[in-house]
Amino acid sequence: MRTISNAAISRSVIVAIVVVVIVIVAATSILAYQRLVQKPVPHYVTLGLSLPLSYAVGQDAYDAAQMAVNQINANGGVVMNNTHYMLRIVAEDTDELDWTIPVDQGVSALEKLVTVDHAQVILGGVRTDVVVAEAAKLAQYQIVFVDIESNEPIVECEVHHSPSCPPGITANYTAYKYYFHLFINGSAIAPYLVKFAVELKNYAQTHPGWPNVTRVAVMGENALWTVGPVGRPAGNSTLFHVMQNLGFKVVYASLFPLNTQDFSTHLSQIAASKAGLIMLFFSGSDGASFIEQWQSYNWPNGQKPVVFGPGLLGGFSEFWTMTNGAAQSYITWPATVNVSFTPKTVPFIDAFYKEYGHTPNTAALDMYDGVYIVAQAMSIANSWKAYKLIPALESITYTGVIGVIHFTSSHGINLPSIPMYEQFGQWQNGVLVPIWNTTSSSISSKIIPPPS
Amino acid sequence: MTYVSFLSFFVLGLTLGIVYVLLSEGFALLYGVAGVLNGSYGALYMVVGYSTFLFFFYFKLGILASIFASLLLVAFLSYLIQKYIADERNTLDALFLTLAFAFVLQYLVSFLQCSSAFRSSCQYPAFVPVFINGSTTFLGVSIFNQYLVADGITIAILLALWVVLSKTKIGKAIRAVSQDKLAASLVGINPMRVILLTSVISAVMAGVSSVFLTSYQTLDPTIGWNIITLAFAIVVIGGLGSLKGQILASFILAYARVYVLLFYNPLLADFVSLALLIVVLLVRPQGIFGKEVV
Amino acid sequence: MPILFVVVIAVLLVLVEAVTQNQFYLGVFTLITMYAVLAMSWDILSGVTGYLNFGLAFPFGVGGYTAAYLWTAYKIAPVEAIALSGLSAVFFGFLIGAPSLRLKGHYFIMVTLLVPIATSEFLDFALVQDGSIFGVNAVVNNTSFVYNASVVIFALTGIALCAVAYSRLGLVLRSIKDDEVSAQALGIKTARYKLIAFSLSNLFSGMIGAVYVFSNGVASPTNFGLLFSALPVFMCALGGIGTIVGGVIGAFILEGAIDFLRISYIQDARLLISATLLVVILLFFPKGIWGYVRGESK
Repeated sequence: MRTISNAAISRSVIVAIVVVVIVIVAATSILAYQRLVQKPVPHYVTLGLSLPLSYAVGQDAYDAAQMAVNQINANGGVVMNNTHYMLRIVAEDTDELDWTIPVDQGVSALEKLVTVDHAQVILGGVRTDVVVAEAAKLAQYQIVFVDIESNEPIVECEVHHSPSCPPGITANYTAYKYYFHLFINGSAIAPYLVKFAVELKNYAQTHPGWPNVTRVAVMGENALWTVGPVGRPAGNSTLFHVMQNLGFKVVYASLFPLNTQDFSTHLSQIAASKAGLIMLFFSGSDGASFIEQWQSYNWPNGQKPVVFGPGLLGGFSEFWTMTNGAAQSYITWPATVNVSFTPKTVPFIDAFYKEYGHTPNTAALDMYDGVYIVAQAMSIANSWKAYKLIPALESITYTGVIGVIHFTSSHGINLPSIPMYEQFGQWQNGVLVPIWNTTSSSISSKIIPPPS
Repeated sequence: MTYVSFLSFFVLGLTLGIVYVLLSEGFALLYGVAGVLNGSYGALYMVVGYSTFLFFFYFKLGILASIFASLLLVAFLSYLIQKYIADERNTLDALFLTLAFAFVLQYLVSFLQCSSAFRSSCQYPAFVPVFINGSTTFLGVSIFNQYLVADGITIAILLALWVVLSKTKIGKAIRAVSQDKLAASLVGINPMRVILLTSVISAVMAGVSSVFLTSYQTLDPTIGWNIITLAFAIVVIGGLGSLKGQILASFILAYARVYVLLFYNPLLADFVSLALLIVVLLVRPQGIFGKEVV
Repeated sequence: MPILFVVVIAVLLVLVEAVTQNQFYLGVFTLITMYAVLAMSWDILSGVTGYLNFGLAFPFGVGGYTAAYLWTAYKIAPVEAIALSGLSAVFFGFLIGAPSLRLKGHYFIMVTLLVPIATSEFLDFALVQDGSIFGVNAVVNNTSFVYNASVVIFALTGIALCAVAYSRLGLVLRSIKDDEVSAQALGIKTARYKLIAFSLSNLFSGMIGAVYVFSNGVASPTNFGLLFSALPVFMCALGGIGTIVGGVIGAFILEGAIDFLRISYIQDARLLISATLLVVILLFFPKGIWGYVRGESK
């Protein structure tokens, strides 16, 4: 009978599985215990990377960290108290870009880095709620955390309150001083968007083939970083009030949920509003879907509106392939283009390309600078311990690949001296072409109108 | 509501409604008609997108060949799932197993797309290329030609299904198995074979909807969950086993969603759709055309 | 015997704390314990009473948000907050559950599935001004408290639910699973008993949801996520549906796999390996591991 034979087979299967499970658990425990007991050789400093390793963002950041560490070690490592310390990196996977995975995996990664891998400084961070959760733990471990890719100001507001901070967040410097934010907080770019829009208007009105860019449609993803620039309701922000005074008219404004895939209703309303310019605010794949649909849409009178705006994923090298070329003429910010933000930028980008076969994305540039800043701060402080490292980080001024970095009182970056965050690029035939940055007098003539 | 916006509402709702019908068709066949709850439906939808990309980008097959190969792959996968994983178990065990297998597929795809073991593919996120280019303006609203073709195919599938289910022997066999497996086998129908065939057809339909729709969207290993939730809801609201109900439910949901998007608040579109579903279930659980709840 | 099992596990968990103070391992065991509570909560309604709840993330998330709100707005102490969160989950669960418990089978699955999704959509819409996120650093740095709270709730849940499941009340609930119509014909007020099972399920889920938020320091819409609904189901299937303790076994196996497989070369694949392990075990142990150990066959 079926039941008996099932049971007979299963008993030996049970034994087999139990044995296997016991072996695995035992092996893990032994390995873990050894790791716990055997602290690393004293002359190493371990940098812990908390990254989503199953995504290009994480892999690129990891590669950049590796490159920085190799270079620093080749030059003698970090000198603290007249002793040379070599750097080494350990990475733990946070899975944070998988939105079905909750924050506990990110917290586990941090805990493992600190308590099992003996990391002395942590770098990483992409998804906001995971970063907030990780930042909450820093006081317990008294360990510095350098955030390289999350784009919201929440934890910065917990370091030091500022008028643009959301009302519900209170500052607690003692608990959050360990957090340093190398990526730009998305709400700070509003002034640059206005400047660019004005330059674009001047260019479009004096060159053929451009739509009427004074009619603006606003499309903003519904996230905290767009509350400032896009406003609530959409279009009701200082940015757009200023633009209205400069000759623009907001003819359509809408928010959309993160991870929206279907923009047909929005596009039909934008078309009906006769907008010539779409200002698009997104961070992830929702922007890629929008761009694909915008490019193929049958615009009235064949007049496709220009699209530009802050789009984190939009500047990544894989954005072009992922939209299968639909990004043609899309203008994105920030744009990691092979431009000398500082004398170190181009050599880094070239070296990265040579080593890994593709251009680095913003996470990679930030991570590279992050490692170097931490290394230099350790040298200055003669220690990796937080109570000495934090003052060093707060006062350091470092010229990296993204610009000249100096942390603000909320441990964010000082935007005006970071050229990477002032750079706008346009996708043209698979390449991100630099067309404007805040120090340019006018838009580059390389800019192209949307294809008809 | 102006005339222009009413037209947009009409056209957008219509297109979305047909999209919903297409998405839920395979699930309606397998669950509504044959009574089999396959938790892997969404995962198979997702796999088709990725495998199309695989064949197209890495094996350099043409787009049509890639689509065809993907449909074959997912048909085979569905056959295996039904035969070895869901086979001969009660509905509950089969459901849990197929759901668990859906997660296996999701994490497998994620692992192959990008991980420390597969680093070079991280730079090439999967996508399904648009294979029918351009857009047509219909009553003032632009619709992608690919969606128009998808709509045509949906109507063809619906007609074919209606004919097969009501007029052919195999259709009757499927309906017989859904009503009473034991009785069906007593009259000479092999229920397992019928269910296997239904699951293969269901998977192919999921695949067809996937290649048409994901071209203009982004692929992600988790997209399957939205699909199966939507398909499940449409089938239940329409009334299990009723093709008419499925179509009506699709349009009701689609129009509700488009209404909220166009005239109320785009941020609440999903919430309103879900709330509507919940209310309908609480008030009329057997769905629009379903039989009384036993 | 099942209660003994629960007590033994609780004691073992306390012993872990005595053996190591390593935060990572304590954190992992906290997670395992949390999922064990969720699994047991799922089982009392779905395994014992037969009403398949595919939305356990709802009471879990409600508990979490309640705790976050109580702490940030009123500075209520964690222990009280956890208890109140449990009650809040029962309350909100009742609002949704009372009408939906009239539904049978697949319809109940559908409604429960949709509720947490709808809630997280709504929260995304309603809370974005504050970042959609509550920073809750009440006890986030007190791992001991979090761990102990988890173990205490685990013990409470296990003892209470085993007591219910293996008692006369449990028999009534199981009769609802077997044949609700006949049970009603025998004069059992099934609606009331279903509500009891549902409320018990929500109470413990809500409490552990609060612990989760205190442990991570964050409440965000992902607290209503798919995995909090799906994993407890799988854990019970692994261990044995309807046994209450089966869920505990499943939690150790599945969550243990996910967290302990953070080993250098395979950490990227740990979710894949865990999911495969799940499928393999389900294939060979359709009645769950506890089911086989007890030689049950149905």
